Amino acid sequence: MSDDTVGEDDLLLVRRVQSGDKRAFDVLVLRYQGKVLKLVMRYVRDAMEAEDVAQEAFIKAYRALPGFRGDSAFYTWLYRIVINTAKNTLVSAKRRPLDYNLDSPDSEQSGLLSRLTDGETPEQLLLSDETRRTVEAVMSELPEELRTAIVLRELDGLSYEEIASAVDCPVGTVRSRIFRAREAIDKTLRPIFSGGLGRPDP
Amino acid sequence: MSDTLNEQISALVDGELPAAETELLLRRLDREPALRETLTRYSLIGAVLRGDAVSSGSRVTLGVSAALAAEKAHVPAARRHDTPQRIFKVLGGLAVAATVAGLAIFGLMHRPGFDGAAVPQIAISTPVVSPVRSVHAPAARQSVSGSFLASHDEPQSYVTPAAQPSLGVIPRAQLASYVVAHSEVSSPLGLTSVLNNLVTDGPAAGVNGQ
Repeated sequence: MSDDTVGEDDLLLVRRVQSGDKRAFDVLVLRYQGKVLKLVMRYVRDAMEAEDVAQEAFIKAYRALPGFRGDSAFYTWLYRIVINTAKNTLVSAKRRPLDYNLDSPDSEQSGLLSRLTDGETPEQLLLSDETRRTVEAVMSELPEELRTAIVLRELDGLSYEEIASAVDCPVGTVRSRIFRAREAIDKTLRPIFSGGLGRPDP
Repeated sequence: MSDTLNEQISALVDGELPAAETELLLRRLDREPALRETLTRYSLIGAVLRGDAVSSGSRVTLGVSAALAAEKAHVPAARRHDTPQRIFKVLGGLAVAATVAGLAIFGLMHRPGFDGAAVPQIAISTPVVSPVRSVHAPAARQSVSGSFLASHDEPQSYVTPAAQPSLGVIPRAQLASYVVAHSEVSSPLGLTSVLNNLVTDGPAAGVNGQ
């Protein structure tokens, strides 16, 4: 997704929140929770604690939002709040930040280790693994054009316009292909997520 | 749920939904839990594909949503600032602007060579907050309220007389004093315009009162 497109759309959502629409903030949370969690995990290794810090940062952001004038991108503004919240957590716990290099060769392994040792229950890990396997299975069966569209969007972060240019088709077609890919995955995932998001059926 | 709506949700997740559609969709999301669940699942699909922690993400979303449910929604900035003081300030600004505009027209009508008969005669009412004392208000226009105001040392009239050759006008010195006295609240452009007229007009240019 291009920065300009995201910036404009974020700003629209921010304006909605500022005019009293809480639901628009949910969309911002959904959009940035992954990035925020990764950012927090640089400071706090415990997964449960990281979730708490991420939550606290989002709530602080919501409360501070009336003062956001759009001089910088929303995420740049949010980033500062997240970093400050994470640092304050460490200060109050009298701990030093982790020297956690996400780009190191064994980062994937250490990430898995931290998942196994901190926070996530075996059931949650099982759910995550089941979810991943399901998504991979559906992805492998998707028509080529749908798979390409959603991979370029979700993994490479391209905007619809950039994808349209890359695969030489109208932007509307890109939008439709990405939706159809999501819909196909969603149909398979819905039973897994039913009974509460991120939780298996009782 | 229609495919059209779900396609809009998909585009919203990507930040690619046009502004007008976003406004409408957010309203529907507020009313329809099923749409919100779709929005959450579509977001989580992206998290799964990127290898993010899905369960953590959903807990953050639910946690923030629950915490914000107890929070008051933000009040729009415009509504917050609509205090009586602000309204008074706006009205005051309009009054000053009207006064300056009145003076500018007045000055224009008394420029050398201006033919007062060529345009309709108009009386310009100036707002109460910045009255212009009428020097030659016709007696017929004096009213009970005019007498009351006069007895309380208030301006006798709030009507700037229309430019008529037979009537006098505000003396040049008095107009200059007025403009200087109100220079702090006049717009620079209006002030310059009026002062220019006073400076450049010849001595015989309609200074009937001197």
